[in-house]
Amino acid sequence: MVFTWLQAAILLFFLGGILFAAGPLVGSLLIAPKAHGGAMGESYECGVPTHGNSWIKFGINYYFYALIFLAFEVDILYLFPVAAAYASPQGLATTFKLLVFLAVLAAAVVYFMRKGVFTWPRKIQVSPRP
Amino acid sequence: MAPQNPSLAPAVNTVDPALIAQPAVQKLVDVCRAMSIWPMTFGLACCAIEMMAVGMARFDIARYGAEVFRPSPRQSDLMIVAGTVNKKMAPAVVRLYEQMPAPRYVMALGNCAISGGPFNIENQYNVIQGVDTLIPVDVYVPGCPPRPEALLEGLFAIQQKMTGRRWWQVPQGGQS
Amino acid sequence: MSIFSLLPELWLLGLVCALFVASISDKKQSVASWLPMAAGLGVLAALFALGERGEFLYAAYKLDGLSQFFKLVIAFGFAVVTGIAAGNKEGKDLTPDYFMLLALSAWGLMLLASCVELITLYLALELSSYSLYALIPLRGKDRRAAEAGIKYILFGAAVTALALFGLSYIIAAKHTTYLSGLAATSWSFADAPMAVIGLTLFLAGFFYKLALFPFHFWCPDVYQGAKNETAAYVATIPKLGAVVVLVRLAAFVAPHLEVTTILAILGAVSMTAGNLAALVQRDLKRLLGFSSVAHAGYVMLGLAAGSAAGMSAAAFYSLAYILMNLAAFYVVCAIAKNDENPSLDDLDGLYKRAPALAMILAVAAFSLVGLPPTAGFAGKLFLLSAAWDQGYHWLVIVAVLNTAISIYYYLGLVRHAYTGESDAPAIVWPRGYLIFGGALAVLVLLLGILPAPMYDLAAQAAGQLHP
Repeated sequence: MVFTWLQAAILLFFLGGILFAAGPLVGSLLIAPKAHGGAMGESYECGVPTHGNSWIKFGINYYFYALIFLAFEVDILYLFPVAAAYASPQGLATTFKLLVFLAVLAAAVVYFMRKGVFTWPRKIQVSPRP
Repeated sequence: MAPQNPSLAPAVNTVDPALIAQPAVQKLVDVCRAMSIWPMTFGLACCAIEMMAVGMARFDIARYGAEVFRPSPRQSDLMIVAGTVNKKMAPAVVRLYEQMPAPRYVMALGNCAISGGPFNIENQYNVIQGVDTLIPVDVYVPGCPPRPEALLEGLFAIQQKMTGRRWWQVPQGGQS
Repeated sequence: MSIFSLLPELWLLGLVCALFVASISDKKQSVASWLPMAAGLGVLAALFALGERGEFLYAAYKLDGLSQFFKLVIAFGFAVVTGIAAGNKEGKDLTPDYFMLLALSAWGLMLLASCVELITLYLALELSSYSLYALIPLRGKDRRAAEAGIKYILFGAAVTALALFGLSYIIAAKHTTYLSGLAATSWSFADAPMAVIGLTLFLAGFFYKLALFPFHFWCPDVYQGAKNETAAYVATIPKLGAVVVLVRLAAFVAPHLEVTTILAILGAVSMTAGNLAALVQRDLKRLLGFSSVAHAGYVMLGLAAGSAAGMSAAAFYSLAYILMNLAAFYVVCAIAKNDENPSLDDLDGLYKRAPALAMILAVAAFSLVGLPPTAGFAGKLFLLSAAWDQGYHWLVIVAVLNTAISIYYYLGLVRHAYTGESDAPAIVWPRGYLIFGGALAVLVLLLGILPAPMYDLAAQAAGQLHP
């Protein structure tokens, strides 16, 4: 098979990336001495013996924020190719199309606001507004 | 002396040697380690202020590669015991030492860590008389508190222990 | 070709906006008071727009006979489902949000009926699917609904990813995504192997919505887990969307090609698997779920036939299917107490407790079997004759055998309703609600006795695709 330089470069980058991550791990496995015994195998908890479960509940609001960020991030990503494709628009039609898109997004934000997603609760609640 | 508390047992220090133990490789790796020691912040009392000073701009420890103070033992090479170790803190010291991966070094900074310092008296009920009763210490830096330059000299001694030579200029007053 | 050609879609979009405003407002007034009426007006709008023709959006959105026919059916189905849901006065999760999602899904399906370009098709499919993903878990705090939702979402997402992958193969092989451009090329495996594989994968997305074997595993679980009204919607309207797309896509594969053989085999296995599994079901909605799987197989008869007659039979059968299924789900929603899943035992003694409901159930059951003079019989007649004329003799025999098998469980419903005994109290419904159900049953019978007008409409629609 004949490889072009571009394909060789992509392969080398890929290989380089893997080595960059795996190299130190393998290196420390081979070169460093190993300490063991005592508290080495236990979880680190600031020098005291661990107590309690590490799987604790955390407020679901963090999850909501991450979800909403992700959703609107994807929409922002959509705006980049739109801007590139309509670099020199004729008339107001393109602006109008884009405004319609943004209006739908704004409607979604209004919906979230009314359902109380953006108000940080004093007490964690999961049930939606009736 | 008060009866020995089982929670004050010394640290377990079993270290297996490396898989590739050729001197050539290990010397090179030791030099790399010496030039980028990552200390663990273990400031317990007044010597901690000196340790903080050494991390700041005037007595910059970053020049010698040791600026990255890690709060977790899992990521550090050097445990600088800076301050008085009480019986309450002793199990934590031992635990954190055991949780450091090899190769690990300990610097006893200040008189309290070396021998109990001003609290080294008969019938001492609370202060551990020297942290080397708990963990193996590599370098002792005396002083109450030692100056930041003394901490740096301790660092150079650790580097000498790692690589076999001192890498930096001896100050004009002579070697300590 | 003015904006009023798009009247059905625009009306439904207006409904979506009104429901959105209702869902974010603070007033507690239920939308059930005005929604069924508005949805009925939507059916009228679709009737007026039946003759509209035209192309919009760079020829990606086309109004032809098929699309307008299916928009009418979708609007009708949506109106009936809102009618069923509105009758449930004490349903506390029938919030405006619920109806908004329902309307959004129906709107997506209307758009799907008109799309003649693969990427727009995919977008419309996703629009309707996402609304359903949000709709299915809405059932109070019920864990079964959450489970049904997870199953639907995970299976749906995986199959949609496969469909998109197939779409990429089609684009790579044929260099166009417009259905008119694709129809002009050859689809045999020897001529275009990558495109045929791509088409099969793309069709998989729609087989999932149709609940055809082997993409049917979500169907009984989702029907059982979701709310009764949601199940009524999911059982009927999305299937229409799947059928309209399959009719468009199957129009450009000739009979006895590899792709058509795959359609025929999947149809046969789907029929058999659905019918056999339904024989042992006790939960009504689960039974109707497996029956949906079987009916998906029957629809495949028409699509595998590939001729104009086959396409029109498939379109007509989808109309008959949603009518009889809506009638069956109407009864399910009416006898369910406290939003629970009714089982076969809950049907016992229905002839005494609610004679009208028993009658409607009987009509629906006979139609689902395919006995004259119901719509199911007319639909099956057209399907079987279309498949036989194209030489699929084995498929017709399998279909007839399956009809015989299905008699047991469909008429089992009638048996429980008319010969079962129970001490449960009579079910009381307001007169208007019962008349509404009765009208559904009458439509089923009417479509069976006089299928010609609707069949001509379907034939004219399919004939434009496959002259």
